[in-house]
Amino acid sequence: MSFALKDKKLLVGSIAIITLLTLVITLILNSFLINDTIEEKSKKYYHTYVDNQYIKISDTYDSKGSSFTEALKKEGFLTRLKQFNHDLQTTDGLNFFEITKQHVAYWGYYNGKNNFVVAYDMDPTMKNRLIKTPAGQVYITPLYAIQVDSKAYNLFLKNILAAGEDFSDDAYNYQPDKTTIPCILGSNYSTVYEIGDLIQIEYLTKIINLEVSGFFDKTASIPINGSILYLDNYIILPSLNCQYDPQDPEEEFFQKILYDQKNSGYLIDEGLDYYAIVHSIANTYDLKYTVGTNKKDVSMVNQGVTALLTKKIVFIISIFLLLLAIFTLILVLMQKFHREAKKISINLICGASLSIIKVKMYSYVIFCYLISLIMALLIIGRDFFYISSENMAMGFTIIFFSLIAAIFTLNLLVNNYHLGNALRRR
Amino acid sequence: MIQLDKITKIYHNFGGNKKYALKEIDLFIKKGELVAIIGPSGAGKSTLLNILGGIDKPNSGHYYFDNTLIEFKANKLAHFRRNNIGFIVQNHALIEDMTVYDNIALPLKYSLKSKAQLENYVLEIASYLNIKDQLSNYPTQLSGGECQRVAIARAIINKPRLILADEPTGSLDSENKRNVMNIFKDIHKSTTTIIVTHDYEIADNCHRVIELNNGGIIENEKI
Repeated sequence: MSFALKDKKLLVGSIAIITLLTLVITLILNSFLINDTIEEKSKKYYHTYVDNQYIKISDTYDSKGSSFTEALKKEGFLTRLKQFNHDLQTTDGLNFFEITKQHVAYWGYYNGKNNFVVAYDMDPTMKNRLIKTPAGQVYITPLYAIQVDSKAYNLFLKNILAAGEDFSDDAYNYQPDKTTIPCILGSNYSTVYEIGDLIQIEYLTKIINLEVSGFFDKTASIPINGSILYLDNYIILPSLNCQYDPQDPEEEFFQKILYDQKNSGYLIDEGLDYYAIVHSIANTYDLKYTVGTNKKDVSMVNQGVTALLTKKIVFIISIFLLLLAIFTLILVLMQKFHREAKKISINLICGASLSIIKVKMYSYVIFCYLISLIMALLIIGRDFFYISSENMAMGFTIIFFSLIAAIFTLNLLVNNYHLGNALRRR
Repeated sequence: MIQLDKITKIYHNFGGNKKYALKEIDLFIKKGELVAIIGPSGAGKSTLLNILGGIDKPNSGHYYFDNTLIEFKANKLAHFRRNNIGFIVQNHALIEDMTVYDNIALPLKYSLKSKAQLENYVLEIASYLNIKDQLSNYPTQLSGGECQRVAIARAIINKPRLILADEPTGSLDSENKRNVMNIFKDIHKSTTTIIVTHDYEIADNCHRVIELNNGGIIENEKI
């Protein structure tokens, strides 16, 4: 029984088997990967907060009859915003961190990927809108961006860079003469920019340069607004601290907007009456902030359930495809065995051992599995390393047992094949 | 030489029903005997031959070859076939993409004979069976009688102790049939030969005729 490429039926069968097995192995390992990217990251980066809820703090301006525009004009508004922020950071029992979606506007003609452009799918005109500025007309394009303070960064994003450096302590400090602030880009940016590149953007009211200091790993994500946000297409900025008094109204306006954003962060729910605490602090400074109206559980539980469901569906599909692959494998081999049964039985009556033929068949099965495994690993790529050792062991156990099952079934079929009849074939 | 002790072979059909191909067969064949097995289709003749040749295994019973119990394990059976058995089957069972030379030499490949030995053996046997001129041809280029002589050459090249022939003359004309039978008469002097046949003329030329029906021996007659 020879396994040569000139056997066209075998070649076509082999391609089908290897394709199916590659798909199956990729799906099985990916089904664990889906779970692992969340579970493992939870274990690694979410520390003890994995079971906690995250409570959003929001301002209540522009609702309940209070206008943010009016508040902006009030005396000492910026100072109070800063004090509120300080109290959120320092009050006993409050575990506050800043994560805010704060998109930036690319300044100039944008030739980049559409994935990075805010709401491009819904409105392609978001890209390269021409606006008038005192210096003339300029194209702007909103890009997805998120700002995080050092606490949020350390909680969720530290040490998951694919390249470059985490934000330094200085990255969070903003001074008026600072025209460049560091940024870390999501993994999809890695083919667009290099470390050290400058990106000119409009951030709140300022035109500044972002200096690329690194790229996040593909799996980098943060909890925001009740879900896990993957940062592949995001620019991550430090949530800036302005430890100076503004020298002009424009600067003051910038800081007011910035601090309102900073204050709209999250509290880690540790069972206190946050509504009362936050209202109390906010009232002290005559500010309108609350918790709970936008209370979002950064639903690790929900996310876990979704992931589990996805995993289950992918897993069931994988098992179905695995059975199909094994069936195809057995069918192809048994058809070949049947085609060559006469030749095999002639060799047997001449003294050949069926064991040699079986070994050839099993080697072919192992070969198909190995090729498929290599191809699956190439498809999964670096993500493979995010699969936990337990899940990897489970995945490989399933694959190994399917291999054993295929060989066992083949052995049974070959043993029960009536080779004596094949000798009589014309 | 051969002793079968209550050999039973059962086949299961798709409905799960049992069919007895052989039912508690007891048989003794002496060394050098030329035995014919006859019977209608489905009587169990070929099954018996396959078990005697070690290409099929019984469900129960014992098979002794030269007083040695045959163990029906794949590797041991291969060794047993290689050293003891020569098969001749209906329709010759030659490998069409191999030359006559290679077909005849096939058993020697498994008994690890040297190339020189192999060539000597093939030439000797081909001369004996008058197919020396056909060695470089392929089976499709031969007549039915020549094909059967190639099959016989392949069966006896390893000097087996038992030759099993399943309908060896089934597809031959009367002249070739006589020739083949003469070859059997000639070679059985040194080898035990069992021939499965429907042909009573062939059976009459044997020392003994065993008649099978429904998996059992109904007659065991010395001629």
